[in-house]
Amino acid sequence: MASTFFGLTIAYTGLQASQAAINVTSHNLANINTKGYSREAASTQADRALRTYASYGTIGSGVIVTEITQKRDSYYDDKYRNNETNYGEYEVKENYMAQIESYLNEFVLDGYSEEYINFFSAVNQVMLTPEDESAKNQLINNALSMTDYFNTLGSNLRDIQVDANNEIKDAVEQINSLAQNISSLNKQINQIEAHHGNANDLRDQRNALVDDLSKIVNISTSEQDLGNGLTNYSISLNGSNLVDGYNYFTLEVSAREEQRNASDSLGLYDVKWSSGQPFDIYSNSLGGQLKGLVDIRDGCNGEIESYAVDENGNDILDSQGNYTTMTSAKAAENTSFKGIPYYMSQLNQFMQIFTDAVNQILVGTPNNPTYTSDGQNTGIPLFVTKDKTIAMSATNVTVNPDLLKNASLLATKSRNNTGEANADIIEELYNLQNSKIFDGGTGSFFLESIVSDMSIDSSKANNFLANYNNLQSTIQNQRLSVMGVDIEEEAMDLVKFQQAYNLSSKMMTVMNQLYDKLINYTGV
Amino acid sequence: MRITNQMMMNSSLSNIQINKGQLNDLSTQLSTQKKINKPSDDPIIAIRALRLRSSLDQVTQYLDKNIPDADSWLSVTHDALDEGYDIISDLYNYCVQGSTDSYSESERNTISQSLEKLVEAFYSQGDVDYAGRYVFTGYNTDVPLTYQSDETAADVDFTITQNFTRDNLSSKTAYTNAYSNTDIMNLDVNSTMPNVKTVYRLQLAYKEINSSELSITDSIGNETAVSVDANGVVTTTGGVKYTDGNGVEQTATITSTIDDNYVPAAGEIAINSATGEVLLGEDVYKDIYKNNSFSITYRKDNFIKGDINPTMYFDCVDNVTGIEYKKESEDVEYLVNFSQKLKVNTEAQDGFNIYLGRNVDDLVTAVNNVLDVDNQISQVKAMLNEEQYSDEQSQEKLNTILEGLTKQKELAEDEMTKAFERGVGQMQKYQEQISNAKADVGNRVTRLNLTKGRLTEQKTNFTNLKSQNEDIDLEDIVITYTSATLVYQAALQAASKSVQETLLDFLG
Repeated sequence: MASTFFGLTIAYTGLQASQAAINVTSHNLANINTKGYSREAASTQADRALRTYASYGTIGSGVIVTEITQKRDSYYDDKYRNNETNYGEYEVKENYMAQIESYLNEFVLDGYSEEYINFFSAVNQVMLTPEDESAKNQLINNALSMTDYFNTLGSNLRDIQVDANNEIKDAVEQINSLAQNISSLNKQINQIEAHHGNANDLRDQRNALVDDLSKIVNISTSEQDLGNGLTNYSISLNGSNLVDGYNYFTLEVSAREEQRNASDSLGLYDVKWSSGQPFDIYSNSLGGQLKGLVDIRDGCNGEIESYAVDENGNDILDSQGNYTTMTSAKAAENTSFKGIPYYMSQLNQFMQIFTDAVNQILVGTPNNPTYTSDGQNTGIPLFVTKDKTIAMSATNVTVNPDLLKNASLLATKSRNNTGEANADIIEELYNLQNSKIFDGGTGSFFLESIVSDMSIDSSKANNFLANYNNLQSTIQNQRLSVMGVDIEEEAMDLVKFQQAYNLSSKMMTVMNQLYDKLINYTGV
Repeated sequence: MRITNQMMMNSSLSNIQINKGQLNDLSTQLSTQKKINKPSDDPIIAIRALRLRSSLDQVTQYLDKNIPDADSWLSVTHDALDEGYDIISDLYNYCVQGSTDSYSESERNTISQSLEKLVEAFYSQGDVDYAGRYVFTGYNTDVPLTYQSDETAADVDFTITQNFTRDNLSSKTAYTNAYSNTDIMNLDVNSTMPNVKTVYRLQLAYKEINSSELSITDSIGNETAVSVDANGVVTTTGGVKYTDGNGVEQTATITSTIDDNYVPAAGEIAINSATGEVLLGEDVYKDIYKNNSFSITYRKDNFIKGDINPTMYFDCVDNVTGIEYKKESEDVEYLVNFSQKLKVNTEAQDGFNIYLGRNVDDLVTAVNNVLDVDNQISQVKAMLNEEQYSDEQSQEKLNTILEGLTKQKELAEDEMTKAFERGVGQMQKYQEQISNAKADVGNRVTRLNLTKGRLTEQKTNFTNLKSQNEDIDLEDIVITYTSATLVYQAALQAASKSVQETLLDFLG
């Protein structure tokens, strides 16, 4: 036979359970817009039955709340983070490609293709009237306008490279800070969970940080159960330990001593572990924003642009004695992406081939010199370098100041015993327009193919970003389907638990009436 | 699948985002009228646009610059040649008249001047320019065909090499036993009557040459350097060979003369630097005729205004600068289409034959010969009436001289008619030459017009292609834009409904 007041106790557990459930609902509703929050639920269980020594044996003794659990599926977390890694990479690429594209937007800009056309249209005019100094002046000024454009373009691209470089430093600092926070959360979670119970909200916080981290760089996580409610949560970054339980490792940047590509900005950062272990930023498996930034900053299509040397290690100079550069395949030490160094090296290659061809035509050879239209002077080069100690390049090219001062020094003919209407040199120059000396194509073809490379990569970055964005919302929806707080559901729960609470209270009233009857009216 | 409010919000938002993106693209297209705004929107359209633009640019360049320039150049050339043709026709008419009926004495006095004026006018046509560039002087567009002033001509000093073939051989008439003015004054009677003799010659392109430096090269390359000093003494180095009547190889004798009526011996080459003639003895003449090749290098340093620049016709060495000028064809060519060049210039030698002036010189000489004899006859007639020659002996002598002079006049008049007859043939030849040059220019104008037509079509074509490639179809975009606006509004409305209401609104 159970205690007289047993029913009151049962009603009390009902009240407690309902209150706990209502509190959880309240917590859910309060966090409905909290980032990374997973829905929680109170798990209830019928309390141990009591043996009553009555014919019916045992009787239920009410309800207990066993734990507050969170609804979360780690499978979707992994999927989400893998996607974030890709999303992060292409978000960076899309952003930077859009900047590069804005400088190479030949479709809208009067950019280098326009400058190139203008140059040859001035050449055409000189071909018609080779003795006319104003025509020559126009040619020289159009050449200057072209070199100025290339100078600006080159330094703009270099600025983008510096921006990407700074972002790499930011990314490294963010990784360090996240790693530190995660390891500290690991400790707090263990402290709570060691005393039985779930550190739900701390876990949510940790998951949100890992989500952030996965966007910056590719990571994988593992959680090992150590027993007694303790776990060891570890994160590996591209295969190396970043967080291991309460410990974390940091990365650091250091400015390069030497340029990697000949046209790189000075002092770009290399990344390594603070412990001194190397960190391979060109690893094929690297991902995330860091990968995107490295690709943009250092991607040279699997090649390295360096000063051109022959097999004996001597510098290869162009016809006017300027240093030149060349690219050589170094797939292992570089990414195959076409980033800033690629566009720089393409522009440099164009300038080196173009200026050398123009200068060769205008200067001739020692045995076959060229002459100005008045036959008084021999030809001088049209294009020179600003700084003679570094290679001819898009940023280092300019027009010979002697020609800017005196346009009549421009060579127009190959024999000084012919009249001034002889423009065979200028005709040769004009024909350069159609000669296939740029990697087997014409100059405009080469310039177009730079635009084409850029626009295809930019378009690819756009498309990939859109795809990963779609995937992101799909996976996020799948995650939300499990962990998201739903207003209707919570409203329903509220109604449900309130009713349960009301009924348990009613039970109290009923029991109270029972005791009143028993105590005040029975056997009196 | 469990659907939460956040999911609905996310979906609504991302759909609205997509709709907005479409709307943004379309409105950019509408405001720019272009299908794309940056190359990555559609790399293929972008690259094709660049190609078409560069082709269109080149076509426009040909069409707007090169072709009009070529056209003007050709029409200036054509007009000048036309004018030259008319002048030759005038010369031709003089020749026809002179060949049929000899000019009266009063006309003879003015005719030489008229002829010389026409020649001057003829060569001055070679000085026309287009936009400050002389059109008949090959690459030397800064140099006119003739020297424009005595000052500019004074500094000119050229060594000229002229190559001759048998076609260049000509003959002239030398008067034998002719009376000179001194003969008349001294009453020297010739025992034989005046007569004429044909002398073979090579006429150089210039008269008044400097004979101090001269060289003659025969067909097999034997060269003689000749130097004539101020007293007419000739020094030679090397020897020009010829084969005499007996088939024996001989070395030609080289002499210098100032006598217009000089008759060289069979194996003699006589240089008359004043008239610019190289007189050939009969054997030498035959040798040149047979071998068909002969060249003479001479120096001329006394150019005057109106003289023709020799570099336009012959290999020359400028003795001032030392520059060697090779006479090669100098085509000023304009690019008038993709890899199509058109020669725009006509060189002086194709229209303005340098020998036209020399032929007219011969006419003038023939006329002047008649005039000279006329003067001599009048002088003798006057002398007959003078007191100091009234003695019988003098009278007899004067009458013999008069008889000789009358014969001489007949010969001279006959020669003048013949000269004009030859002139008719020569002028016809020059007319033919200049009208060939005109026809050539005409053909080029026709070709230019054809090219222009083709290019105009090409330009329209490229413009259309370019527009098709990059310009939007306005109706299309407007319709798409309208429907996109509609979709966007629908999405907004749906989102506002689904987000606004919850179960709580209905729970009491």
